[in-house]
Amino acid sequence: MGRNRLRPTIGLTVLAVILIALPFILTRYYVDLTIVFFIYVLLAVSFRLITTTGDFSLAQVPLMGMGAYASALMSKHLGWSFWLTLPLAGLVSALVGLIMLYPLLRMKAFAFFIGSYAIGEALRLSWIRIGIFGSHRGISGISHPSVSIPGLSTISFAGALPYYFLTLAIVVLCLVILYLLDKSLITDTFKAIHSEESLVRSVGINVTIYRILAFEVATFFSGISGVLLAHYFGHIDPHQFNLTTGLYLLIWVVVGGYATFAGPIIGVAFFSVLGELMRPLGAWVPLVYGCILIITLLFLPEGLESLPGRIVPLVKKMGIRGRT
Amino acid sequence: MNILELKGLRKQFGGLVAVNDVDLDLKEGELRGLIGPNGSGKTTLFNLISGFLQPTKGKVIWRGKNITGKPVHSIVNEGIVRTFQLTTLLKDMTALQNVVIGCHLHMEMGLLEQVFGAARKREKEKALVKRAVDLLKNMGIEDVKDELTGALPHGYQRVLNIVITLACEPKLLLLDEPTTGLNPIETQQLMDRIKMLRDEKGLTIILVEHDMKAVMGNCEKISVMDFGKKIAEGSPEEVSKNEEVIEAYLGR
Repeated sequence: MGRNRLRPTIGLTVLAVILIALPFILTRYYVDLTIVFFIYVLLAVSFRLITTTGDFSLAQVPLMGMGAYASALMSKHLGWSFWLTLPLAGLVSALVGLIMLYPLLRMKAFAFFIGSYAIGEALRLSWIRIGIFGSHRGISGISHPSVSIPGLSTISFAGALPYYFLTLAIVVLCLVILYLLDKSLITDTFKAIHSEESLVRSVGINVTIYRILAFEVATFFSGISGVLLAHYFGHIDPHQFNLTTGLYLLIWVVVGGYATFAGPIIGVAFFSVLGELMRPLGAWVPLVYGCILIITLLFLPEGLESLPGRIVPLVKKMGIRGRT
Repeated sequence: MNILELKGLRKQFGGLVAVNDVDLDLKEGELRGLIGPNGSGKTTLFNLISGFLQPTKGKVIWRGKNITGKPVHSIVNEGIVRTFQLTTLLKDMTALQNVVIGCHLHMEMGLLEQVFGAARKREKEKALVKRAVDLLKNMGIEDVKDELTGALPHGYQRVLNIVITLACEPKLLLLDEPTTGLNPIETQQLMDRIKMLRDEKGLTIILVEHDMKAVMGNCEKISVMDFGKKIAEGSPEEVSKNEEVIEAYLGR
């Protein structure tokens, strides 16, 4: 018992040490990649929250963009600080998501999937059409966050190193909240809606409210991930949030596995490393992505996260055979 | 006083009249049998009472209050809970988890508390689990509480479905063929438990059943449906002698 309890504590400590040491070891280029990795982990974990109720949303990337645009506009035109625009932009995303839900709640499964694409794309195209969003060029010169300590000095998060820790802190905080949600009875209810909706309805659970809840919480955090992206690069445009990114997100989560909280994180990590290894392949990369997706669906339908559970019994079996 | 009154309840699917102007009165504490050939509209009637379907016409009066067309969750809140003809369980969860989900109405926990709550939340969750275990115990299936429901024998699954509905603290229970697939001994055991629910907990129950022996032997009053219409009502003896009923079941 004591050992079992100690193990995750040790694991988390090791992970924390690695994450803190990482930016001092890595070159600037890899620090950049890691920051983007953190941002997409948050997006993928949010996306997976919606899948627990059985809905797959292609609107999550445009909604991430909504958070990015909202924060960029608030900081550029209103001069508001990052610390204010961060939660507000998350709320703007959630609000836009709520409007999208009005038609989307009437859809299920495939209809929801394709409907969410259509409405997400409509949102994205509106940024091209409506002047304030800067059309194809998007918005540039988005300020870097900073903290001013009264009477002392101002700390800017402009460089890669400070922004690394800023992103790490915000993403970890968001993941902790999402993890607590995942361990609560609410997520049991989400999963129950997915597997036996009529039973869930028959015991008096308002299925619509729970679907709204999952989508809204996920959309808030997708928006937060968009804010982190916007204030790091200082530039956003509509093409960053197009269908290709949405499909990649889908592939990350499906290949990583969406049955558990860790799955999407594993998926994003796997493809981040793979993406780097495959850089010489250039335009062939999407082909490899597709092949990996197909192989996963055929041989590992529960994703990479289910791999240890499959290999360990196999190894044990071989070990026993070896001994006899 | 009647606890439930159906007044001219009608459901049309295009040209098909699935439930045809049905009137039905139910007294508190009654165990009513509802029988009829396949496709006579029994399940549709349940769907109308429980809010899963909206009636085309007519009224559902519950304790003097019109609840016609209300959403399912508010009807469950009023105390009317139904089961399904097919076993409907969360197959990759344990029996206990299934019942806990059923207890949701009595959770008394806000959303934020469920995510961020600490000691008090754990206490409430403990109480919730205890309640669920008690319910399983009451129906005699607590020995399987930690098993995945998908792996349970059919008889246990049928009883578990009823336990889940009991978690909502119903006043009126609508049981849709609860004994399907059970052998005669299991059937009588389940009927005894259903009667116990009525006698000890004061539940009012409507029982849709194909097993004639089970209905005739356990219900004081039986309503018979055929082609969406209620064609007879009365004691088991009266119903079994009724010409129209015999005709509906055996053909002319």
